[in-house]
Amino acid sequence: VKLLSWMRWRTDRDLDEEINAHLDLDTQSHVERGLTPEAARQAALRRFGSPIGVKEQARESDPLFNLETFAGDVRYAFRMLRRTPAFTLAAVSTLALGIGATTAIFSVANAALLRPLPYPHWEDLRTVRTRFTDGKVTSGLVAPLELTRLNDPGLPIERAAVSVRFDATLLINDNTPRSLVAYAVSSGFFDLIGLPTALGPGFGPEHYRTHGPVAVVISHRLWQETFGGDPGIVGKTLRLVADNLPIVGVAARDMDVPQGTDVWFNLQFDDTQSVSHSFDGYLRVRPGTSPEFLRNRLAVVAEGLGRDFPGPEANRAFVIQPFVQAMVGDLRPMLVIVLSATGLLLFLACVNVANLLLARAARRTREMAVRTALGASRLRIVRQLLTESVVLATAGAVTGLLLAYIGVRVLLLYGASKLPRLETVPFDMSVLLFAGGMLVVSAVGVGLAPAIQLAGPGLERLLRESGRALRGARSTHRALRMMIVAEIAVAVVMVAGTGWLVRSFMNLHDGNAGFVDRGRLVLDLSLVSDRYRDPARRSAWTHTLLDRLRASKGVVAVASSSDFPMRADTAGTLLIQMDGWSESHVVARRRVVSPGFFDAMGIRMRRGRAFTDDDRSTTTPVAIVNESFVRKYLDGRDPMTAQMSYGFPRINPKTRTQIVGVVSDVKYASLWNDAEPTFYLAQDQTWASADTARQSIVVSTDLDDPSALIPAIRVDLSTMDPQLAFKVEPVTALIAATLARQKLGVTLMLLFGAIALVLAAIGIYGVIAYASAERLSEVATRMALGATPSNIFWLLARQGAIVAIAGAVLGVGVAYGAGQLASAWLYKVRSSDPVILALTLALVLAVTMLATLIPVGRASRIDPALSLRSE
Amino acid sequence: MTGDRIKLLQGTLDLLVLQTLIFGARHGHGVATAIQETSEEVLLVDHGSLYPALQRLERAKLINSAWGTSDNNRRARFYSLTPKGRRRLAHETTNWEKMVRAVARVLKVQEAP
Repeated sequence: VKLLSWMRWRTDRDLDEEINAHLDLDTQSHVERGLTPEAARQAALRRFGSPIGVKEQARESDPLFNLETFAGDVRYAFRMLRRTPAFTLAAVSTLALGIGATTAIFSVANAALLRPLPYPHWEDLRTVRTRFTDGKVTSGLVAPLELTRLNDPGLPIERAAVSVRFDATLLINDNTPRSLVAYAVSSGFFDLIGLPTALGPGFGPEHYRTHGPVAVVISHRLWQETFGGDPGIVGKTLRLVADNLPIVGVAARDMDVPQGTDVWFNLQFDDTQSVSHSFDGYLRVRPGTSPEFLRNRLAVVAEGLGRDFPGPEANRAFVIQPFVQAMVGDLRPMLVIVLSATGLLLFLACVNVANLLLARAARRTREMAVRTALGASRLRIVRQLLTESVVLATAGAVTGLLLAYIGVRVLLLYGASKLPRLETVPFDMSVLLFAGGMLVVSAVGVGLAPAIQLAGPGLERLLRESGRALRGARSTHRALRMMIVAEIAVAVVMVAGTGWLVRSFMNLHDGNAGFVDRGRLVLDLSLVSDRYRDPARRSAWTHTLLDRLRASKGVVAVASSSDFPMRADTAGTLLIQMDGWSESHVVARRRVVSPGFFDAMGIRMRRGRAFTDDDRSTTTPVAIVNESFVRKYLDGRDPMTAQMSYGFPRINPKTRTQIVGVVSDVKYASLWNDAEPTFYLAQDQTWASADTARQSIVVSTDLDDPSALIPAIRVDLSTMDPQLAFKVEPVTALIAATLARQKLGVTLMLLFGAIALVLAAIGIYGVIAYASAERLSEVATRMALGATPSNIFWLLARQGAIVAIAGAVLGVGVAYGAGQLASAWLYKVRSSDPVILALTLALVLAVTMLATLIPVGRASRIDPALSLRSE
Repeated sequence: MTGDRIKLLQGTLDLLVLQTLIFGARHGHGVATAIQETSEEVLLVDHGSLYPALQRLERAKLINSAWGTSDNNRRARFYSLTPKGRRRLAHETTNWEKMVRAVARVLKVQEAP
């Protein structure tokens, strides 16, 4: 810049001197023809035209000069801005707030919502399930036969793979047990996810030959926590309770598919044509494959399967879902809402600064008139004004980036730290690019309106009005009013949007799960060791544990269950046949629970009775069903008289069970999926079935913080079985973890709403204060003629009220429309929700009122004599 | 000022400026008067537009400039042709003559059908 200004100085002086020389020479030539020196000078000047215009023209014809003009404009802009520090401070801080907030929020959204998965090209990942198109029931899982077909290179699929869960307990050096989440994965699974192993070769082709060696890849977490990051871990042996297996690799740090996996085994198929549907399927599609294309091609595959295997595969269809949806829920609504809110926020900031500039521009009419008279082209003036707004926007952007950096740390402290991979929100290239984009948008957005106002066709009219130039032009007032209307409308939309998200979040969070999370712990354990192989021992051990836990201080109730909500588990899907039904079987989830489970979880009994200690293996098998079950399968029948049988893949007639009660629905899969038809069985009647090894024990307490009990529980368990692996956590943490992203979104929106209100208030305040100041002499005259302060107050407040109402009406209209679009994504929220709309209106109007009344109040208390004299 | 003066055609100013410099360096005022005088006061040079033209030519490296002293001891910037400018002048002059002849022929044909 220094060099640039030096060059500019040199050429400008050069050109000045040259022009002067020209004028001197020309004057002389006129003198030689007999004119007086004065007349000669005049003639020379006339012949030359405007020296400034010439200089401008000379400069503009050169790209380098253009840059110099820009540097000059920048210096001029700085001068102008320094001259009005209050204006500059207001404009820069508003822009900083706008750019800072949007950048901060973008960087969090970028990390949490835009790139929610750490896998390369995760957008090409899909989960695949199957279903029957004829209404028959299936587990929804994938069979090896289907996997073989999906890996056909003719399909738009780069790779297909499956996984299946196992239970395993690891024995650490001193024989301390640790329960592992283990999955067996088919060939190509790691390539499909796309993260190479951190250490070791991983699974090779030999591992996928039939009867090849079995090996494990351990997770980065397990490697760090249990093996201390031992660099020589590959080649060593993993000691499991059941088996010893060679470690062939450590997975990448971010590799977490299926979620929470500690150990991956290689999955070998005895029969690749097997139709056992028991695997979770994954696809990586070719980049750019459209959902319709994929669907059509898979429909063809399914048809072929149905032809070749008419028994198990007839009428089967593939169900494809984006992987990200399966992993973190559907984040699109949050993303769309948050990002549009970001845009609106920046819009608000721009409108505010544009308002300030417009108000100032009205006072600068004279300056512009003089500049035009001196030969500045219209383009030149527009450029000068745009340069000023660029300077403002740059200052705002720099401050804003700083604010964003700090803001992100604060946001992380507040809400986001629980999200995996969000410990550090990177300030990466995309964030900087985003901030740069914001800068350009705001510079143009802020500068254009006043530029058009001042340099547009209206300029002459403005000049004619120059007698009133200091009081601003009528068109300026109209522009200001329109902007305020827009601003209030935007504020209404933002606050309403915040309202919906909060409502949606509350709907998800409160009581929606169907059980009570406060004051409760969940203890997960897996009785896989040989000593629990005998069901009787398993039963006895569990009863002892429950009794011990029940005896602890503060514990109200304790119960055991085969599954726990929010574990995203697909287990327990069974076919059901109701007695006396002509229809074929239906499907429902089975949960095995101990007596007192419903009480301990806060699940309400709707009809009949709960399980008791009298429901034993020797008594009649009983079941309790949930409301969804009754609604879907027992419509119009009395559930208390119904009997059912279940089984998979066929109904087992020996399972004849009497329904004895109905309980309220509980959401097992996730908070946003509806509860499924479920039946509960009594634990003491099912010990003989194999699936009672894994248990989730709920400990209900009357403590505010149930985690205080965790140390005591640990002691209890280790005295009962020092080799048993278990995990214990508060149920609230479980719910919070599943809602972490949603909570982040709501936090962001609350922040947005607040900032939007503040910005709108500042904007309204500024404009009303400006408009009131314009009318000071009118006010003074009226007061001198006998108007009371309250007359004046209402006179001035009326203009605020009109724009406020116009803005509010517009805003409610837009909000309603936007809400219609968004309501599909919100959880049980209607865009016409009167409570939200009313609260929004009340809040925005209150803020508007405040922002109007302060400047109006001040204006109505002026001393008329003082004001008139200053005119 | 006489009424039979002609405003310069767009683009011809550059050519005229180059031509006036063919016999040696001149300052801006000299260029303006030279055009006016050699054209016997028919061509009107807008003095103000001369300087942007000079800058344009200098940037195109057709002329270069240096400070010097005028006949009456006034410091002034003198412009002179570069070799490139000389070539351009020859080329443009040929073009110009071709065009003038062509235009003249067309006009004559129309005069006497």
